[in-house]
Amino acid sequence: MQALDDASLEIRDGERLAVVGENGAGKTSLMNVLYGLYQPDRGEVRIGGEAVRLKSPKEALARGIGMVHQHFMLVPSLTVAENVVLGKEPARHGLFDLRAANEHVLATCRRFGFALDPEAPVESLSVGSQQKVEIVKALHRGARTLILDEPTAVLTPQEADELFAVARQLTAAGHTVIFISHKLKEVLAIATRIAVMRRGAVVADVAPGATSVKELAELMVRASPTPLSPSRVEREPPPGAQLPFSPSGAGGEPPPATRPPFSPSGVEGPSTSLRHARGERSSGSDQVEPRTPVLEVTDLTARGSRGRPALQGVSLTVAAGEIVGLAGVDGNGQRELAEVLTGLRPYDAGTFSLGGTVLCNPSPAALRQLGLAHVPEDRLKRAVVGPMSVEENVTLGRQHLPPFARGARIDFAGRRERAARLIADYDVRPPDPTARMVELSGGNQQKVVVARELDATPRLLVAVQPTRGLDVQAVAQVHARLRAERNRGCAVLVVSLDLDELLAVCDRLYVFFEGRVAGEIARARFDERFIGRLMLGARAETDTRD
Amino acid sequence: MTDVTLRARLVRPFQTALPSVLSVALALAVCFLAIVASQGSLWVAARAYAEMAWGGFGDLPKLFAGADASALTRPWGETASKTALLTLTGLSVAVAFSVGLFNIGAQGQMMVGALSAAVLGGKLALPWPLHVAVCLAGAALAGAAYAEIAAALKLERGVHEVISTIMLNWIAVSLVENWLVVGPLRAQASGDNSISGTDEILASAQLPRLLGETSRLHAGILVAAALAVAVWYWLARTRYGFESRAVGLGPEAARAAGIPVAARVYQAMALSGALAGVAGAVLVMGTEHKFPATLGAPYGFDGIAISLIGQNHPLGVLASAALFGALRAGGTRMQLLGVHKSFPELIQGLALLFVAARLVWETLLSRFRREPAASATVEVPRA
Amino acid sequence: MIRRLATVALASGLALTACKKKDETAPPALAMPAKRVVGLVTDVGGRGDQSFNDSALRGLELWAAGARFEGGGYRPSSADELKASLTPELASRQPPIVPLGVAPLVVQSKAQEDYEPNLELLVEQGAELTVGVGFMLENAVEAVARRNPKAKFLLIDSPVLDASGKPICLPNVRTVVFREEEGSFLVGALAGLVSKRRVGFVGGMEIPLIKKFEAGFRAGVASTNPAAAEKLLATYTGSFDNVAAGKQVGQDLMAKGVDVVFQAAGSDGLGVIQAVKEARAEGKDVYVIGVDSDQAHLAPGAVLTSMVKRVDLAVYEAVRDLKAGTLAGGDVARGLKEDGVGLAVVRLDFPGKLEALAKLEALRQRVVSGELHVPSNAAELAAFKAQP
Repeated sequence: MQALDDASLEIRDGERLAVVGENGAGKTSLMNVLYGLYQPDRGEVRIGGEAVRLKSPKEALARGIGMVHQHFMLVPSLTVAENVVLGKEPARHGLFDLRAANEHVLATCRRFGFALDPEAPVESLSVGSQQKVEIVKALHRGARTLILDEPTAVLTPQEADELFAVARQLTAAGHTVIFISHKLKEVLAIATRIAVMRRGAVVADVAPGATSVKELAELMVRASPTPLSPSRVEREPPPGAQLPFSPSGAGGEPPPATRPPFSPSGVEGPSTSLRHARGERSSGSDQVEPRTPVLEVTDLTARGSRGRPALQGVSLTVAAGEIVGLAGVDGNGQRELAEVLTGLRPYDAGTFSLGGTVLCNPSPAALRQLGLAHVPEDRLKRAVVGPMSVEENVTLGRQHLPPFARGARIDFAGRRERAARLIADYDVRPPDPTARMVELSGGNQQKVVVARELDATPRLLVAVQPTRGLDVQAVAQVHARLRAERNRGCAVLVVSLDLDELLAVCDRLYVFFEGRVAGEIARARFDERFIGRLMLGARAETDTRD
Repeated sequence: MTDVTLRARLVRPFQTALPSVLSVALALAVCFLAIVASQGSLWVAARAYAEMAWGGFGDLPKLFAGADASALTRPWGETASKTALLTLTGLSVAVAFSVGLFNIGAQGQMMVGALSAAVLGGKLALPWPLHVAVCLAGAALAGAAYAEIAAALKLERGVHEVISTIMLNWIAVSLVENWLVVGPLRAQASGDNSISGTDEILASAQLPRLLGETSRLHAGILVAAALAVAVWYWLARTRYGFESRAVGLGPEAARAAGIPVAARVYQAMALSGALAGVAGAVLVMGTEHKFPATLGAPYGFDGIAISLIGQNHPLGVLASAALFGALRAGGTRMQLLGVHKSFPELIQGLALLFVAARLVWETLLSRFRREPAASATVEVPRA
Repeated sequence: MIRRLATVALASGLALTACKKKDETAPPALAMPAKRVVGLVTDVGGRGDQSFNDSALRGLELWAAGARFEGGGYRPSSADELKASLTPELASRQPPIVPLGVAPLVVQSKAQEDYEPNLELLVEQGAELTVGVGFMLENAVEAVARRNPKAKFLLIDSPVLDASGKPICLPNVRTVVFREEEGSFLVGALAGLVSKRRVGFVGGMEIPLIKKFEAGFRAGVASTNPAAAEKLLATYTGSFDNVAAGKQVGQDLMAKGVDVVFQAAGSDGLGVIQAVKEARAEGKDVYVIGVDSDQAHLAPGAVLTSMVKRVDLAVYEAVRDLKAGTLAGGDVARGLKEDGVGLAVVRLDFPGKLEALAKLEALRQRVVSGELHVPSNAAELAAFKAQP
């Protein structure tokens, strides 16, 4: 398969260029050519009119081109400064000069307005800060043109805004910034120019002022084999959300005059607000009445990976036939809760029950037996076994049950048949059940995971960042599947750092802050700004208002 | 056969085996050049290789010159005994590797297995087939128990298995070779005569010779081959094997999928130790008929090389063990031409080195194919 | 890539054929002339062990075949090289040690289980006599000798034993054991003469073979210095491969006042020698006596002498008997009389050296003549001490 097909792209000094396109449109491949990771079969890269052959990232860096990958390449135990200078360490008398490194990093941070502590170990930083470390690293190595591969995929809205501010600073200082992105709204807000890619070629070059989300989406998928239904485009934006999202701290504006309805958890049962919400749901009228709670969590307390408290008395419920979201800035306990609920993290106190069965530190196997399905966040680590084939991955979790096993033996025919069916249903490409999982693109891997988990007809689905890194079309597909599960009567819990996503699919939201539920909001009262404030710890204020 | 299954059945195994085959070929070539260099003669090197082949696969020239069948069966016997041992220790390493553990301890597990077989074979009096079975089972149990120490240390205390198995090897050497075999279990000779190793095992505990007395070909090779097929079946065809592989390739994903990771690790390590233990038993019951003063060549360590060259696949292990069994059995004959005794091991070591440097291979191969990633057959996943 | 490899293989194939043709005109350098072939299988120690295997190889290669193994092949050795390897006693032996015109064929063993196929291989290659060096080859020699009744074998250091450990006799196997007690007796006598304070003995594992050394040594000390024999300190390290343990034991003995120590402890003994060497460097007047081969080069100045086992001579004489057609099966025990054991040259000077050597020679004569029976175990030792 050809990743790039006569793609031409011009990059101008000091601009903020966004490169958009579906998964597999060739965005990353094109940038990898620019960064010296791939060599083109034909064609060339010209810098300042001079044709160059970039055979490695080192050569690209020498020409001032730096790249920040979606997955950071940092050493967690080293400090910010150590990571930044790694590979190009300042030396004095032949020894590593830590002080010079610290000063250098501090200077760079000041110049571009980063708030980074050079001596903090990287593992203690949030994802957003780690991204900044990557940027400083690229700058330290002399990058004048900075390629950011889906930079906001891992960021909270607030962090994304900070990143955009940084990007503006950089271009103001004469640097060039190239974004690869799926998020058209963001792209419109930040880019000075937008290049649209489709099937390995650049098909359009538009100015953000002269286009719209809708038009961009059409450019991206025109002549695609499957019809487009990007949720973010179709979704009715809630009131007050037309503007690009801005954190309450930065905007300084109070919430909209109409005070958003809000019920702190435990104070008011979800049932009343839910009934409101259901009437306003954007999709379909074929929904099932929310029935008995499937998941009930009471006063759950658990510790995070380094022993610090992560959950401090969380209570929530998810009923059959509803999609419940967990919103929150990264690192406020949502991830740990999902791990507890899927049996991957032990908890210290509290209880939770699944389908009426009260559990005590259950194993993942026991939970799956009770009807849990799990779409984990870290796909390559937790969801799939990369070196195994697609069909082998399809059996994971039910490898001991028909149609995948007959007694102790693997049922190869049954497995092949089921895998082929799921591949067809979910349009996994390539449609080869024996392909190794790592050979698939991220989007197709996720399709396999979702297909596998939903194939088990779960009672409870826990999906963490289910659309991270997917293109518009794949996102729409996943969202449609989530809704279908809800309509079937499944209880769905979605954890996402992408507030847009939660607003798009959820019937109800819990907002997490510092390991506690800071608020519970029904769909009827969704309000981006208000939720944003809750995510940043505005509970005390709202408490007084109640 | 559909296109997909054709690819899975034929193309993939071939692609997997290719680096090993090339590595072995390259190792043979490099070693050949080394012999040429050390002996100063291409002719001697060629004859040395011919001798190695006759010694490993059967002395055809001698047979044609009118010798009896022992010209074939005797080399076969030596090759088969070495192949059996290398297969078993190779399987031991491969099985542990399937759950992601690097078992350096096959040597120690083999040693306790060999001692168990020697003791059970010498002290028990049982009828023939039963006695053999009891000795093999005892050796397997001893090896398994010994390996479980490393598994328990890993799972309960987080001790890395490479460290613990290396230590356990030394403990086995000290315990078995330096104490039991020269102390309490030492064979007693009459008068002032010295005798090495333990008492000989009874005839009822010996693995039967398959081709008469002139060849040492014994039933050990059948045991090893049967176990290789069984391990392959377990790994490839049963869900327990599948779960073990999943644990090895993606422990977190396996855990999230509800696979009992610890249980699979204990199981695989027990099987690994049992296979190494059986290797010890086959050595004792097949050729030595006692625990000798020192337990043969370091087959436990060879198992690591055999397993890696066999790509950790049970049948690959069998193939690579057969090849190196033959090379090493026949390699002794290179000494007849003055070639140093270490060359057969050198071939094995070089092959391992080349397999380990597989990445380099693959880069070279892909450069030859001239397939830049921009038009590669797979979409490169973001990573 | 594959095509390229194929080309290489093809090219080398061509080179081989070319080479073959050339070789047909001139006989290959390594082809043996029609000499009688004598094979030798080392134990796992192999060539270069500075001890047992090297001694056997000397007997076969340098003495019997008049050849030296160098760079993977044999070259004829000069008469001077042979002479340099002989002690005065050996040089004066009749008939003299001269090359016998046989072709050596040596296979080194890499593992215990290789002994049998290696012996078999040499028989197959036409070796009329095959030497198995060391008692570890006992099983293998027995098995191969039974299968090949026409071939002859020499087994060093052990009789052929049946499954229950009783010596048996095979018509085509000569076995050689050494009366180590007689050599130990002589070094014991020397130790008794040299020691001013106390005499010590370090053994390896406490097995009958080493007990033989101890018995002979004690008897020797008793014959020249009964008082020292009473105070003699004997220790066993329990191993043959632990240099550190040997060193510790050696230091321990010296701390207890021992000034002459005899070691029969394999590698542990090297530790004893090391300990004595260091003590001498500190100015102490102490000596060590080596074992098996002349170990003086390990610590010149500290090694008084060594109790040597003439494995080389045993191998050489077996080859000579083969040529003479007198090689028969059976057990041979070689002591002082047969030059099977003996004293290495005493190179150190000490007060009264000449008288001491004369006394030793007198004792040697008494043993050789059979007048004096040297005890080889504790019971015989008690009887030996009881007699006047």
